Amino acid sequence: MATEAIAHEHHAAAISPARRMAMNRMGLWLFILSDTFFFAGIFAARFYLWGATRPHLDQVLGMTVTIVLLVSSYFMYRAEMAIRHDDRGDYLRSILMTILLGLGFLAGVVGFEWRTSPVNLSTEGEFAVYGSILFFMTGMHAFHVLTGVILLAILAYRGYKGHFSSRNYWAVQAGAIYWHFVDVVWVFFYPALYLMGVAVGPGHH
Amino acid sequence: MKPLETPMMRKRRVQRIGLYVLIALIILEILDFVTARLTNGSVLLLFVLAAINAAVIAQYFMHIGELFAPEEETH
Repeated sequence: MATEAIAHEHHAAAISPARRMAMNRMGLWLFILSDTFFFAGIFAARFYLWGATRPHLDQVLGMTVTIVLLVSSYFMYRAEMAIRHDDRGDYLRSILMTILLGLGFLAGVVGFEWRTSPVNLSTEGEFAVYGSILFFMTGMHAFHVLTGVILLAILAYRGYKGHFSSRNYWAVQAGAIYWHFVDVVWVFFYPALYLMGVAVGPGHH
Repeated sequence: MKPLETPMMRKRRVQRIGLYVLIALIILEILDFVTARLTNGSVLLLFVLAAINAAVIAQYFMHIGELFAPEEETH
C-alpha cells in the first residue's frame, strides 16, 4: 500500500504545471457541461408546458436585471484581467462590484419579480403551470447566482490576503468562468420567460 | 518602431476589449427586446439572438479557446 502511495505521489509530481492547468480547465468545463444539461432540461420543460405562450411578466424589469447581470460579467472579466497583471487594487474593486451587481440581480428577481408576478406557486387552474415553471427556472438560476456570489466573496477575501498574482490566478479564472456561465444561462432564460411567444393568463393586457 | 507595451498598458487594452464586448452584449439584448415586439415573440429569432449572445460571452469572457490551445500557451 505504502509503495502504491509513493508511486502515486511520484506520478503527481511528474505532471507539469501546464499539464495540470489543462486538466483543471478540462475538469471545470466538464462540470459546466453537466450543469448545461440540467438547465437545458428546465429549458425544454418550459417549451413542453408553455409552448408558444408566456405569462404576463414585466419585460422592462426582465431586461433591467439582464443588463445588470451582463455588467457584472464585465466587472468579473475586469477583475480577472487585473489579477493577471498583478493589479490587486483593481482586482478587489472589480470583484466587489461584481458581487454588488450579483446581489442587485437577486434583488430584482427574488425581491421584485417574485412579488409582483401575476402568476405564482399558488396560481390554480389552467395557469398553474406558468407559476411552477417561472419559479423553477428563476429559482434554480437564482440559487446558482447565490452560490456564485459566495464563491466571489471567498475569492475577494483570498485576493485581499494576497493569495493571487499573475503567476497564480487559476482560482480566479475558474470563478470567473462559473460566473459567466450563470450569465449565459440567463441569456437564454430571459427571452424564454419574458419575450418568446404570446402573453396569456392573468396580468396586464 | 512600435513602442513597448507595459503590463499596465496591456491590462488597460484588454479591459477596453471587455468594455466593447459589454456594449455589444447590451445592444444584442436591446435587439432581443425590439425583435420580440416586432415579431410577436418569434421563438426562432429570439433563440438565434440568445445563441449569438452566449457565443460572444463564451469566446471573450470565458476564454473557451484556451481549452483547445497547446498546453504551454495556457496558464
